[in-house]
Amino acid sequence: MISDRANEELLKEQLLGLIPRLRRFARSLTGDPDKADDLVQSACERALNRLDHVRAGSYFDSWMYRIVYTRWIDRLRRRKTRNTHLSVLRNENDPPAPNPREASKLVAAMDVRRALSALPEERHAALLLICVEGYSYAEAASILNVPAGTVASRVARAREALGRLLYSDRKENTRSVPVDAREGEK
Amino acid sequence: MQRFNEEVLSAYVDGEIDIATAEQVENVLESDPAARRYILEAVKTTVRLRATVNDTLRENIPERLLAAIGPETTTGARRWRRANPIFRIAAMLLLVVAGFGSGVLIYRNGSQAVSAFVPVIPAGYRHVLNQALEYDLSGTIRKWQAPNATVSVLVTPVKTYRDSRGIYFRKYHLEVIMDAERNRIQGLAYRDTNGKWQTKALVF
Repeated sequence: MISDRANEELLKEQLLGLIPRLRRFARSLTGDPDKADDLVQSACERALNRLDHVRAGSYFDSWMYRIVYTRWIDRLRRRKTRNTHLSVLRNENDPPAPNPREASKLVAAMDVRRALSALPEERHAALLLICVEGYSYAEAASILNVPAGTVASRVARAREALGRLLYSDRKENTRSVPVDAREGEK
Repeated sequence: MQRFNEEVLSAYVDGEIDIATAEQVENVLESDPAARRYILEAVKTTVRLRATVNDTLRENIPERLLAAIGPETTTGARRWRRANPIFRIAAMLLLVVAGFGSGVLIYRNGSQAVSAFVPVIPAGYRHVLNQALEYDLSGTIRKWQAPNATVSVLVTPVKTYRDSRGIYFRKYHLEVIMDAERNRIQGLAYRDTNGKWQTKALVF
């Protein structure tokens, strides 16, 4: 068994390695680079104050995601409204668009960001954890503190909503059902 | 005709259903164009989503975040970022969005995970792919012909490398020829702890 000091150093190293992914998650949740880094910094500070409660390992990653997510939800609740100046038109970190191909990619990214910003927070987070961060339904359920079935439902509905927003040529005679018209989640 | 709702199809894409149900889904996909469309849209959305948000991975970590964790680990963090292959993989995945045409396969590692194969691709090619990854040198073309001779599959491993953790990765090209129609696929696989090749991403 490693010492507390060694465990703390391992956790710090693990946290450093995790930061790029936490920033990606937070950036997508908040839609704003500065707010995302504020969120990650806040989560890191929170985690560093509680390192004696956790051991280095795979659980640490999902623990950090949970802190980021819960702190984001807390902020939303405090503000009573979601940040509306999402970087929809242009992310300041996007490189300039020097040619039509780059411009086309930028427009495609804008479409996705706009569609993501239209999702309810809980579906947004579930979609990111599954599709981007690569967590299983069970792992995402642990991070979001909901049953795995709820994660499955949220991901499916988020996909359906994104599909309607991103693929305007979709024929409405398919199996698509408006999200708002469905029964509540599990 | 049996049908599956979006939740089951979505779980199929994520590799979150058992193999028996996955086989039922694949049978349904052969005769349900709406379900096929759903699957294709789902995987296409996943790729677009990743391509949009992965930019963050290529950025330098802000000093204030490094400082929040502790100055003694700053150098280590930068070194780690250069060495970790995930960044290379993420950058590569960004490239696969362009030219997205007839379908995309995203597959995550998992004990009960099953591949979200588009039904026009025969299950037999998975065996060919595994054999090519296991035995063939990069640049070698392995060909497989379906018993009914309507489908041919060509697999070419193109690059092999090992990351800092010792995990082997292989990039490969896969070409499926079916009724004179060609689907070209780029893929990335890694060898799991059981010694089996797992496909991380395929793009048609």
